[in-house]
Amino acid sequence: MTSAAAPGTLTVGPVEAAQVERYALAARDHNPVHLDAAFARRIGLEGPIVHGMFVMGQFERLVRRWRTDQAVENLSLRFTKPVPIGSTLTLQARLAQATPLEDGRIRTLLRVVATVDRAVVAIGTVGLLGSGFDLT
Amino acid sequence: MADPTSAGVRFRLEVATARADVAAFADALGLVEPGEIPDDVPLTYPIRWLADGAVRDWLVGVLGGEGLPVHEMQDFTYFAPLALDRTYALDVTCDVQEGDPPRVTIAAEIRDGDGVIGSARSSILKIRLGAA
Repeated sequence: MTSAAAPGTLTVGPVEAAQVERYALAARDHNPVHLDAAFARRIGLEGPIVHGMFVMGQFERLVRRWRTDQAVENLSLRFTKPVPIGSTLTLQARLAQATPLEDGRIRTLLRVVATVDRAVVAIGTVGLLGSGFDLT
Repeated sequence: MADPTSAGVRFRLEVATARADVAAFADALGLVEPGEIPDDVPLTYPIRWLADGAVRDWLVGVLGGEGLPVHEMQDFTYFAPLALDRTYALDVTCDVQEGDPPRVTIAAEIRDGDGVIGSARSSILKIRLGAA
């Protein structure tokens, strides 16, 4: 389930095991920490966790839905906390910097953060290039 | 298989953006509806290439055993978009930085016939089991 609550915001989830399995297959990342509950518990987690790269991919969804006129030049994310399967992700992006270029385009830097129950699970930046930027 | 204890291990891979694989990846992320072919290759798609044999074997050699690999940081930079149904050269450099915990970095450059069109950088920590 996905909903766009406001520009620059995206809610994803709850992210269920079937979705994680589908991502594991498509990304060829079969690390048991994402797929095997017994393994996850053995290493001290409460259960399997969502791939960090799945979380990162959701920022692409956010940007593509929000700003179709922008090309993404850079996507950078630091994973700060495991995301248990069943979590609902809240993604937010805010304008941090806009630099006009000589050719009339604008290079924009967004600060992005993903949270689960208000706890930060990933934080980073998205660099965009396009004709302009506003927050509507 | 490369020596997992050596620093700066390099690989050159031929990688592809086969339409069906890209569609499955985009669908798994919710970027398209099931069965729909995306117009664009997802920005994070190159992570799939790091599951290729040589890099995966190296990672297993470095991260296997008594430790849990934890993805710490990921970065992608693009000078041009990836296209569907294309092959690219992927130049990968793998490094291990000793520390507590040890850190593995994988830096990859994506090349087409005109040169570098993008790059990916991954940082992975090896956490002791029980400490995660």
